Amino acid sequence: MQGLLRSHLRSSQKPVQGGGERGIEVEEREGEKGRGAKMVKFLKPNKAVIVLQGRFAGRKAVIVKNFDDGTRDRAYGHCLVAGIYKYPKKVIRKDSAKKTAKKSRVKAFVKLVNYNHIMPTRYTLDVDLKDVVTPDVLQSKDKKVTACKETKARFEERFKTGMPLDPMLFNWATSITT
Amino acid sequence: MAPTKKTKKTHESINNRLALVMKSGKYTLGYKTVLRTLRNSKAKLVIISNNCPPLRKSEIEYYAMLAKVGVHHFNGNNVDLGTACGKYFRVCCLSIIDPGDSDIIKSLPGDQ
Repeated sequence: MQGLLRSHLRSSQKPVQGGGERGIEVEEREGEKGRGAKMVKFLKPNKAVIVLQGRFAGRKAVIVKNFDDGTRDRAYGHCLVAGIYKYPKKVIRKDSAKKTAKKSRVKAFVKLVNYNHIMPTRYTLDVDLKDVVTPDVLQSKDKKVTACKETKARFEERFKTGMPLDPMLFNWATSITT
Repeated sequence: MAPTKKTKKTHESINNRLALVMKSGKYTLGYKTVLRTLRNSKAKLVIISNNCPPLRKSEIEYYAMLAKVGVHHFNGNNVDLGTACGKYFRVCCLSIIDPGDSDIIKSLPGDQ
């Protein structure tokens, strides 16, 4: 977890509150109005999470859609995530442009994961995937492949233009040297 | 977290407050349900015993940080926490959903 918990990387949790900021939405539960108790839901779209189980264990992913109460097929809290299957490799100065392009490729995956099998982090990734990654994408292999290709394109674009280093896309970034 | 030096008096008062929560409030016992209540933001306070495995302890603390819920490190191990809850089994972590008549939420989270 060390690469993720670096305080100088972009974090959605800021010590001073504002409400309505991305990732920090404050809801009051019914019956609590008098006490001012604030409950924060943190499993929201754009949250960066780590997948803990399955084929993609250890990979970072972004929540695209939550199903907090489950659906008829999956009677537990789960979410649709888009994650990175193959991280971009480390690029060095000596690499030619062709090599850099090859090393900067990302392979993506789309999956419905149980909440018990993800570890949320305090980071968010604001890449808009809502139109591309939808629950019906997982019904057929072709749709899934096109969705993965589109997320791959968006992740790669983010990787190439993202500054400071995006904590989610860099697997080897344990220290930032810019 | 630096362990706070608890006098016997405050320790007993925590036990009293916990007993009141057990009687009048809503709570869940156990790691799985604690995480579940933290995820669906029902938890108001999380209490962890002192012999909770460190990885599990930091995981619960991280979730509580994300959910902005107070964590209290109970001054006793899971056997003591189970006894404080009035149960005959060990309790490593518990989450208070509704304190009922107790003022445990108001008085404790300054302590984290």
